[in-house]
Amino acid sequence: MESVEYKCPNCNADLKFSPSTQKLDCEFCLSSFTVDEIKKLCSKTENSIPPEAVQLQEDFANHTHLYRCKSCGAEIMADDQQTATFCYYCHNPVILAGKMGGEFKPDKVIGFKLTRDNAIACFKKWVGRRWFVPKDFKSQQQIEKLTGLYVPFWIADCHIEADYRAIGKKLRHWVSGNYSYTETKEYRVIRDASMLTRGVPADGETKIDDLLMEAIEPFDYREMKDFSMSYLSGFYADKYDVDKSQVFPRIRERSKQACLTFIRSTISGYSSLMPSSDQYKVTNTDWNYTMLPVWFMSYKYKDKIYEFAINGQTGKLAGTPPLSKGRLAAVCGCIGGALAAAIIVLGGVLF
Amino acid sequence: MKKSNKGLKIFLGIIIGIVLLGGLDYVLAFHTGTRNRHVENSKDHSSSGIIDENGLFADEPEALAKLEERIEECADKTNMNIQVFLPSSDRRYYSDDDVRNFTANQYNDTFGENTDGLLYYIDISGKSPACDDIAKSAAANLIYTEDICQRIYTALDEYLPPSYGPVYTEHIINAVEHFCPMIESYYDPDRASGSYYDATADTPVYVYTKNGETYVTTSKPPFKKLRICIVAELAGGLLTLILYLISKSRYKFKSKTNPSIYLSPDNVRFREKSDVLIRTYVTKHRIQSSSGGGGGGYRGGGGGGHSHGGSIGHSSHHR
Repeated sequence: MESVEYKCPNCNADLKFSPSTQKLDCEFCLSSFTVDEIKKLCSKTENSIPPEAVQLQEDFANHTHLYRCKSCGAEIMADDQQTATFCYYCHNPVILAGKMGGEFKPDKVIGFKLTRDNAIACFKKWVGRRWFVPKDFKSQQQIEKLTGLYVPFWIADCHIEADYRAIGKKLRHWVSGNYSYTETKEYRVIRDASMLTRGVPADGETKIDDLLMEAIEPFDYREMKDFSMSYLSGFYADKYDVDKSQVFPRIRERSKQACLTFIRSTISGYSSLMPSSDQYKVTNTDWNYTMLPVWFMSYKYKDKIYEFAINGQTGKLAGTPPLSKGRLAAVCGCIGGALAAAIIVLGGVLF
Repeated sequence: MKKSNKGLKIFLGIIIGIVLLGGLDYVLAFHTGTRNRHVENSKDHSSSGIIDENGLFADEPEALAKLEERIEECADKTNMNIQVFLPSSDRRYYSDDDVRNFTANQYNDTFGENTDGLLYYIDISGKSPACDDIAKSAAANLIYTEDICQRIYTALDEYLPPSYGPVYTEHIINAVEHFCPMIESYYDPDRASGSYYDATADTPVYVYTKNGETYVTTSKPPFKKLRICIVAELAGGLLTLILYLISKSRYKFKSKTNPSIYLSPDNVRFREKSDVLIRTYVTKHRIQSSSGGGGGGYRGGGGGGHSHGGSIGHSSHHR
């Protein structure tokens, strides 16, 4: 097998030439390209980093401190004007671990629009409707743990080639005399398109649940700015520990789902569809490493960590509320008991 | 280890809950209720006998005395108050409800409310069709069930005249002489089980036996109470479970963003978008004719109510 040093345009992993398919395959994201395709794509990329970008990376490295939580291993960034004292995730003390490397400098950032007071109001409204959360969860001490956090996101624009082919059937029924008739019309349905999903995000760290971050989407990318250290002031930032090759399968799946939904929305009026081809191939991906604003809180209850997040830009919130099963069972038991007592009394057992 | 402990705790909790509920059910079913209104029969059954309101035996007092004796003997054997009533022609306009009302009150007036016994009303008033009735009080309701009474009626039909025919003393003598042995043979206090509810009494009562003793109470019998308790607990338990599961489901993570928001129609360029008709065909099949239908049904009947004291049940029969 011959090995050729090209990077995958989707996830930046090394591509390997496969003699059997005569294509360059990516082992990480399973993309596949012809040599001509990859040459064409690589010709567009810059081979050198501009001096301004190098300067920005150096500034980032000099003015950012990295703190590490000895308890859960979380790594938090803060600017050199601020000292991080506790871990946003497990609330244990953190220690200064050194400077950040320039390669961790984000490309873009969306600043916080939701103030701490707004976030607390959102949380109180959300938790107020839930009667059976543990009392601690609503306490002021817990609310104090709500942390303004820039979460590292990989944001991808995916170029997708969609090829959908199916046989669609339209049926018409009528009755004449003693016979029932069915007219079947068969159509060849073809949807062959180039599609571009823009700004599909995936968080680049393992601590926070992926579904929680998906739940507080979308972010308004029109307010996205080039990264500057000034955005970090007063907030913490998480360091990514998942690179783009690892998040690409998630992004590809969501992009495919978006394309599939769109394609299906263009097909209507059929009684049934029998697809013969339903392919969505990601041909190229443009990446941005971006910090997105999130108000985050975690709560440990009975050896399980419950996470709660608010979109720091739009105020959309999501999370799993902890449930005090004992209190819930007691209340439900009282209601059930009252019903039983009512039946016993009305049924004339006592008199 | 921890998980199995939790499972054991839940299991023990359920067992303890069932035991506690069982105990509560027992107390509610067997140790609550109203006073027993049942009145024990006296050993003297001289009140038992035959009332010849019709005057059929006016010319044969010996025959009447003999019947009287036979009925008393039957009452002694069964420890039941027994009366046979031969109505006069004044009662021929009685409706069936009037008959039942009369027999109930006649029994209570003669023997007292909530005593054990029965009154056999042989309708020789001239009413057509004749309405015979056996009014049963207290334990007699449990011993002489509807099924037994109907068997007695069927057997006595052989001896009693049709309602349109003349009535002779022989008819009554034969009937009573067969009635008494049947009452004696069907008498089995150990077989008295279940319960009887007299909804037409002035104060509706339940008749049942417990530990060999007859009870006439306004409260339900223990096994009915037990059934209500169990149903109540099942309903309460089910409601508890449903509420718990519904509430718990509200504490699950649900929200997820639809990725379609990341694909704008402006960013879709179709190279081919076609729906081409490739073939059309028609199939036909014969419609199976089906016939059927149902008849209607109707329910008829109904009855009026009547009012009396004590715990009187009836079994009626038309000749």
